Amino acid sequence: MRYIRGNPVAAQTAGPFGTTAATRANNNMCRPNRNKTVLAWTCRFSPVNDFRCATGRETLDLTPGSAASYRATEVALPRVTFGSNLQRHMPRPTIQVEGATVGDVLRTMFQEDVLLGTYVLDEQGRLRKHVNIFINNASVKDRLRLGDACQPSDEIYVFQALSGG
Amino acid sequence: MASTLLVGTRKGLFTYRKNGAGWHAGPPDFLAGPVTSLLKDPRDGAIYVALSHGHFGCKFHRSDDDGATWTEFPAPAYPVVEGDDKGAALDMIWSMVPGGPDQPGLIWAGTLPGGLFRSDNRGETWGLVTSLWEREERAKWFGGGYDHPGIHSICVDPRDSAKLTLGVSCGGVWKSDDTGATWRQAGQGLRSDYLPPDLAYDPVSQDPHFIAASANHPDRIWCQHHNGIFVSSDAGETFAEIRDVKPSVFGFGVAVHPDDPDTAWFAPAQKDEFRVPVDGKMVVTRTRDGGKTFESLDKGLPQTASYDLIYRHALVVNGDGKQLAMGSTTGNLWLSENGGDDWAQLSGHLPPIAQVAFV
Repeated sequence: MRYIRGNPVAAQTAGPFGTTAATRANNNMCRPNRNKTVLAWTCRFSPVNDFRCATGRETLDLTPGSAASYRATEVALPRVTFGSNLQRHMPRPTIQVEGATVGDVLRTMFQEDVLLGTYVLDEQGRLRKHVNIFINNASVKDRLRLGDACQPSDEIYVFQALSGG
Repeated sequence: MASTLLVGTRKGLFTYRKNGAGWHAGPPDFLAGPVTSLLKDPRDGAIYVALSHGHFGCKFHRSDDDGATWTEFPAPAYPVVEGDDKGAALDMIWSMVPGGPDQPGLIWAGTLPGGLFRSDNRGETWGLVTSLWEREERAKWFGGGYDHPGIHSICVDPRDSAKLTLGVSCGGVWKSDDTGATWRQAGQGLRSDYLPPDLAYDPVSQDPHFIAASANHPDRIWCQHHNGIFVSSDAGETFAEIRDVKPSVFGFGVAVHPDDPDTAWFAPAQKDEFRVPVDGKMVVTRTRDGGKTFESLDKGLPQTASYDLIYRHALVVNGDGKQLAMGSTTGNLWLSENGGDDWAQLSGHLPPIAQVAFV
């Protein structure tokens, strides 16, 4: 069985993730938000080593060592990494996203990637009960509104411990 | 006779196919994903599967090639409630039913915590049916077995696709004559033992475990209620109770013959604090005279130390009225090809079974 993911026609989907349809039919192609809120994607964990990155104006080659990759990774923005259990359902690379709070960061991401958002937050924007987020080494305190502040140098980890039988 | 059977379990979707050597299934789709509802749409052949990942929420997938590939779409979502930390969120997709042949692309979905959703584009987007969600009576709905009330039964009238009948646990029976634009409480005559005596017949407080209409005689609806067996001859407006059915009137599932509305099958269990076969003997009860008499069918079913419980979507009859399938919470899967007279075990070690469906 093959799975096709990340190609929803979600233009009418209501929820905290906005109404933008996710357009990434190919998960291996990293597309930043066209409004440039997302300034750079670091595609180090791309499963097929596709390091291209479309900005809306140009397609950058972010292969490690390339000039564009240095420009991209020099941008100081919070880095967001998803745990392995979520990667099984929604494989995503580590990315850098602008935002003053962890909620800002995630909501910006999920406007572009609606399906990914449904795995992390419920439709009211609350963190799902068994999903946890760490900013560096500290668990977020505000699970309802995700108002915990984050700095450009922060590492944000989204993960979950599986349980049940 | 159908030659394919979909089996939705706690650990994925199994597809049984019949060939010269009998019924067999390969590895499941969505391994480890709890299937809460499945649907094969007879209008276009699409298969819809709802999952409830405990950690990642409810998910919705569609296949247009008989399960060879699947596409995920956003599951139904409750409207955002600004400034309210207790706004409703999807807890489970409990039932999925296609609209009529004159409503291509329309899919209905019943959910916990009590919302009915419709999609007009084969599940790619969903909208909450607010005309039901906003009814004042919904405040009286309550959870029966789950934390929240839920819609588990959706009957679309084959004579007029605008006519809908819902079963809600616990909220009774609801009907619409205008494709869900307006609703009214139905299900008069249902009775609950566990309510205060003055409320025993309160229609909004009822727990119909499942309601099923005869496909070609849709005025006849059978109800396996928390409190017993009920039958309607007016499409669910009113019900009459059928008592003293041996070995028990308690259960979850009911299947109705598509051409003979007097014939229905039930999977009884010892009420309601035990929910296991009476005396450890697994049986199916069948009436062929509208509930006047019942037979207890046990050939091929375990008659000692059985603890199987048949959930509400896990007892079905095929369109020929002869082929039945039944799956239990213990992982037994049984099939009959003669109206329940004889049963054959297809598996004894599946994960707990939520739903079976002939395709």
